[in-house]
Amino acid sequence: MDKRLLRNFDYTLLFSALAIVAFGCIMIYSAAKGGEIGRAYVERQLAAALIGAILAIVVASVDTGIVHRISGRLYGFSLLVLIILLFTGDTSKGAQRWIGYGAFRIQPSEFVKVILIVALAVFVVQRLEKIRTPQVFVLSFLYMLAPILLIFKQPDLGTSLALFAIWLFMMFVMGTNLKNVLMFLAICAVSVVVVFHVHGVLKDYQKNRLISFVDPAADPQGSGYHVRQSRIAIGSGQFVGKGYLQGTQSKLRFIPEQHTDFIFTVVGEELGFVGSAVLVGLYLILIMRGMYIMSVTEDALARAIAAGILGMFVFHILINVGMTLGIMPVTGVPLPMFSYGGSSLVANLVAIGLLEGISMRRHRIVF
Amino acid sequence: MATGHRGLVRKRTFVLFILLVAVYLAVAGRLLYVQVINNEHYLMWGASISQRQIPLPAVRGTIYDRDKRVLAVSIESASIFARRKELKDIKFASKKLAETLGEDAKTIETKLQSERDEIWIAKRVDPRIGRRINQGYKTTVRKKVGKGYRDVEKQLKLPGIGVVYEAKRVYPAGAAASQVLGFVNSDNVGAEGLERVENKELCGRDGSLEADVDARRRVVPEALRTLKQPVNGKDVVLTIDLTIQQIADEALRKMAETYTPESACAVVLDSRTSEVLAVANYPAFDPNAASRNNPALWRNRAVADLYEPGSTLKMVTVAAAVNEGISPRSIVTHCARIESITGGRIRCSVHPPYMSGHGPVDMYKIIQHSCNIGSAHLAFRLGSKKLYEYEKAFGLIDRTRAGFGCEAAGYMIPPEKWRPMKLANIGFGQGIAVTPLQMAAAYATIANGGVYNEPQIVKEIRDSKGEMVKRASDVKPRQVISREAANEVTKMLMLCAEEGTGKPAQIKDRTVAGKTGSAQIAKPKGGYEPGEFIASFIGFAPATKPRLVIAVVVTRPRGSHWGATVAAPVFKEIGEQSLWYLRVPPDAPEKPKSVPKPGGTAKELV
Repeated sequence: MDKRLLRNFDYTLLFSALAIVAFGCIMIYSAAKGGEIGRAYVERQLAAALIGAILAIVVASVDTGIVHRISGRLYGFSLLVLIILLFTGDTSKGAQRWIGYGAFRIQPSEFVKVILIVALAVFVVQRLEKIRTPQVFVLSFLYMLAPILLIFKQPDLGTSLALFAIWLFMMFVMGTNLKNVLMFLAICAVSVVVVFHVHGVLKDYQKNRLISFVDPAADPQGSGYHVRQSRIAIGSGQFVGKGYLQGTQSKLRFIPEQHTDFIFTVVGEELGFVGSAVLVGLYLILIMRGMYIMSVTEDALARAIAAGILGMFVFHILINVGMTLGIMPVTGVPLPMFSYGGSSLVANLVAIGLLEGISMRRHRIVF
Repeated sequence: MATGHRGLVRKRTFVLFILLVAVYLAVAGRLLYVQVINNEHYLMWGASISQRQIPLPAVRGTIYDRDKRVLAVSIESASIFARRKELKDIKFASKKLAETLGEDAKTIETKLQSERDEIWIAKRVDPRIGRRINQGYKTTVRKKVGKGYRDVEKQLKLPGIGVVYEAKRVYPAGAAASQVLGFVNSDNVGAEGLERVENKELCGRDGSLEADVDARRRVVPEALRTLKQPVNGKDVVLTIDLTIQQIADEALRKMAETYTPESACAVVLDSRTSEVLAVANYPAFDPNAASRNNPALWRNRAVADLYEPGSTLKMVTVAAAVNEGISPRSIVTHCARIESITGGRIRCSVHPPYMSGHGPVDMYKIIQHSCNIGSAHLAFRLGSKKLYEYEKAFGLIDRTRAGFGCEAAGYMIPPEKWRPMKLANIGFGQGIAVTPLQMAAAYATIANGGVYNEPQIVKEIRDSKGEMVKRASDVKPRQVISREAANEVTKMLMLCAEEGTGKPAQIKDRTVAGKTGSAQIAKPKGGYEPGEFIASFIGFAPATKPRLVIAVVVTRPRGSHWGATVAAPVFKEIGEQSLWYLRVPPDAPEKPKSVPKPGGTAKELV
């Protein structure tokens, strides 16, 4: 690797990401009630972090320019994986999201997210001259719609919504006409109404989650239960929390999936407002660095990729923290690099690697 | 790339930055609100969900009769409820519940369709029904098998249907002594009678288990917090003898068949101690379904209602006179049926052979023939103050403290205000109001050799281990009249029962001492209700070695108003059966001469 590149290496971004991973491991240990099980979870998470770090270094070392040539293949590969998944995937909690065997299973949609960011970025940049036209807006939407529908079919509402967010974020940053965005949002609003009144589009539990977001008391033992319990856990943490490993609300199985999607409740309950603020602050640093990188890079493709990655992070963080605080619907997305889950961690670290690569090559180097 | 585009991107990035900061502030604000500002709310909300206070209810004490026969006891029962919002298939649920409860499915369905969130389907039923409902029912469930669906039979609880177990108070003896026992309200708190008076002793102290629970509301074993053991209620042993109580109830019921009175009561005391052996009230009510009865029936009239005792009170006048040294055999006055005194005229009701008055009367004759004029003269001789003192000493003025909780005090205007007419009236039992229990206690004084014992209903209170914790406090016995005087009065009362107005009270093989009464009913605003009477008989047996005092008071009987006709046979019935049941040795083995038919043609009356 060219030594000169390291001049623009973003250490703040790296350290905030590593701090989030480390913090995550500590909280996963607690969420898994410590002991043997807790250690096993942490070991697996650390292994994933190692793999992710290696892949991130590889990704950061490669000039993003090369994806111009292979974006079509990446896109095709993603669709293929998603289609295969529909037929062969393992079901976990009623969703076909997993592929693999025994202890080694991966969740391809996590990687697909990152791959699609790159593919979409190429797609958009190739049409940069006409970026403001509705045609490009619609075309790019259709480009994303295929994988979104495939993921939605798994069913994985959270990830498909994340892809929407990535696309919208990227289009906004790359300069699509605001009219397009407003029109799209209007159409969305109309279709939500349609979706709720046409049978079979959303699974019952998906509808329930959205309903329970609007009215948590509607279904106390169902989805609203998540919303209420996590708010109670966070609220009971108060300013400094009940102390590490001392949480009861989450330990007593009041909150399901506490080491994955609802891990923020463990932070809130055990480390209180202080702990939550630290974590949210780390994410803020991460996002701000990302935005900085996005704004200073001179390469359009790099900016598009950075926008997509930022969109992904922002969506995950806000939806996840928001749902535990009861200001967003429960959509089952992990907290990036914090929640337990190898695929998600590896994919997110790869995304960090991409950002670092972009940061290092912010000035178009003329050879 | 066009610089215009770059500028746009910069602008967009800035807008995004602003948006992000705003959203972040919102999240931080929310975090601050939930964790720091409004934390109490969530803390309590959380505690209310993750901590559960499991009540450990104390078992309410049992009420026993004197022989430890159960009069009131708490048993387990189940109540079935529904939470409307959690109900799934109302048709199915009501069908299954109807099968288990043995009720009509339509009725239950109507209940389940109620608007309320919590619906009671059945209250306090057999706990086995509750356990059956908790077991769940065979339900067909659609289950995904491979690609298709298949119907599978499963044992499932009815969603939204719950069972709570709670204590139910039952009164195994039914209506017996129901006005004495009272009953509990729906919260198991004594509402009437001894259940109310002794509630503090009976109820015990509920305990609780405050524990952490997990998401399924199961107690987390290692996280037990505080255990407060319940203290079961104490048992109350009454002086009531259930057998005598039932004898008294039955005797009243039989009398009521003939005379259909508005109400009637009978009090049976142990004459040696004034312990209450039975308090019968007619009409009776079933405490097992108290709320379905007319609340007027809950009243224990024997201790709570005042009545004018009439002739039965002549016993007190005579006893006072004997105790004051007036010779019982000396002629008190000459009764000429009507006599004018200052302020009015007093009269006797007369019967053959004394159609023009009782003639010269001594105390024996006064009692035997119930001579009003004779009693009035004795009252004159004693004077207001003395007579009042005796009334008080016999327990007729002060409230009894037997432990019923609703006892009335006697009513009489103070002696300073008595005019001669009033004095005469009180001498033969008018212008004074007392309770049947007070009269019974006064007669017990005679039976007990002149010593007054405060009547009592609670024999003792035992804790749940059976240790006696309290014997009901009693007022000190007091000598009201001398033993000799009491014996003399007993002889008079015996004469009354053997040859006087009290003949229908005679008991086989045993002597009886007693006195009839047929009092008019005083109107609240003075004067008397025409044609309405209270017929009574009060006495004790065996007269030579007294054991039972029985007071029978019948209000507004139809067909006859004479104490001898209406009340004395009730006395006989209760006395005869109770003495036989108590194995009291006979003291008059030879048959008394003739027993006039009850309800028939008793000639000597009032």
